[in-house]
Amino acid sequence: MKTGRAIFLTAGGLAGLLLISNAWAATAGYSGLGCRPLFSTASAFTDGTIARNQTSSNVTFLCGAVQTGGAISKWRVSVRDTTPIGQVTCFARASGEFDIGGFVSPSESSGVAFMGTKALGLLLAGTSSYVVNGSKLIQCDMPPAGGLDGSGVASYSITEL
Amino acid sequence: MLKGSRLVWLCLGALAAVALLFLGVHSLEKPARAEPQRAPSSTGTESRAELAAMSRELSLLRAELGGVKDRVYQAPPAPSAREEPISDPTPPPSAPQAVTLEAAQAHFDQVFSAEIADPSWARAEEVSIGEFFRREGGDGSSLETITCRSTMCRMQLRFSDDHSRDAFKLKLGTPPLNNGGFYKEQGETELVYFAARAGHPLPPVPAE
Repeated sequence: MKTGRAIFLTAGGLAGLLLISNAWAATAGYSGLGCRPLFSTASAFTDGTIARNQTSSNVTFLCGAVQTGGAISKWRVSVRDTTPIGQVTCFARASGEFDIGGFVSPSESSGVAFMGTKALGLLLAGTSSYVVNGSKLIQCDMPPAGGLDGSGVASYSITEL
Repeated sequence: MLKGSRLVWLCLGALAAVALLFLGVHSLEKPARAEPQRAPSSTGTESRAELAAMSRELSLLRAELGGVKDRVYQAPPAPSAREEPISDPTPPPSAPQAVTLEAAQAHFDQVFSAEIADPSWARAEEVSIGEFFRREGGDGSSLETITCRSTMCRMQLRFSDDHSRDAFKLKLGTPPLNNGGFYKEQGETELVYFAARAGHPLPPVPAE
């Protein structure tokens, strides 16, 4: 009787832990409209829902996200990069409430020679921890306009664990 | 779902217990019935004594059976108490916990100080980061100290104003500072940065 009950409780506990661990990860996705250039340059912004760099110099895009209560386990930025030279480079940041400090993820680039659409950061580790009342964002360095379609952020997402 | 499964378990256990008890009673009853044939020479007094002993034993077994019945039909505890281990939203051990910036810096300082240096990588990285600051730092910032060990570098930076400090934060994804890290301001014009080595993300900060 005791053994059966113990087995039942153990199995139930394990199932519960599995459910919790699955439920714990949450992904929030955004369109490129969530990105803004670091400095307000009128020609460096959205074309529909895609945040584009239409200037002749590199522009930093800051893409805000909602902190749902966990460290960044994954981040993903879907970029268009048809520039003949230059590349899109992005990383994620989990900052404290007043941005006095924060965690920075490894960055990933589309590659100088790359032309097309690409998801960055898909399998990279995120930040190791997070700060209460803090914020999450993705930062991308966009190359100067060029090529058929230039460069832009079409969408991005952050998964928290 | 859970309540139903548990009830099934409890019922199965109860049935098993009842079956065992039944077998026990049955095995006691057999000798009692066989007694007149097996021992025709025993006296009436002995038979009465044996019968009394068996009667007491039977009473005890009945009492035990009553206890088992009580346990089987006992009302289940309050759902909140039974389901607490499952409904409690405590994250699994691997899930990172929220931390304070101070605790994070203290943790990384501790990990860093305990690291054994990888001299070849550490020296090359220190040179690379030094060159980065000379190239990208601008007039408003200076690299005060930098030390690399085996999986991370710790650097202390000084800035002339908030603007140059914030400008530095925007360069954190630029090589050689493109492997992730942790930053923490020290007052208005200083900042500590722990830069991770490629392939060695900073360790999670334990919850307080």
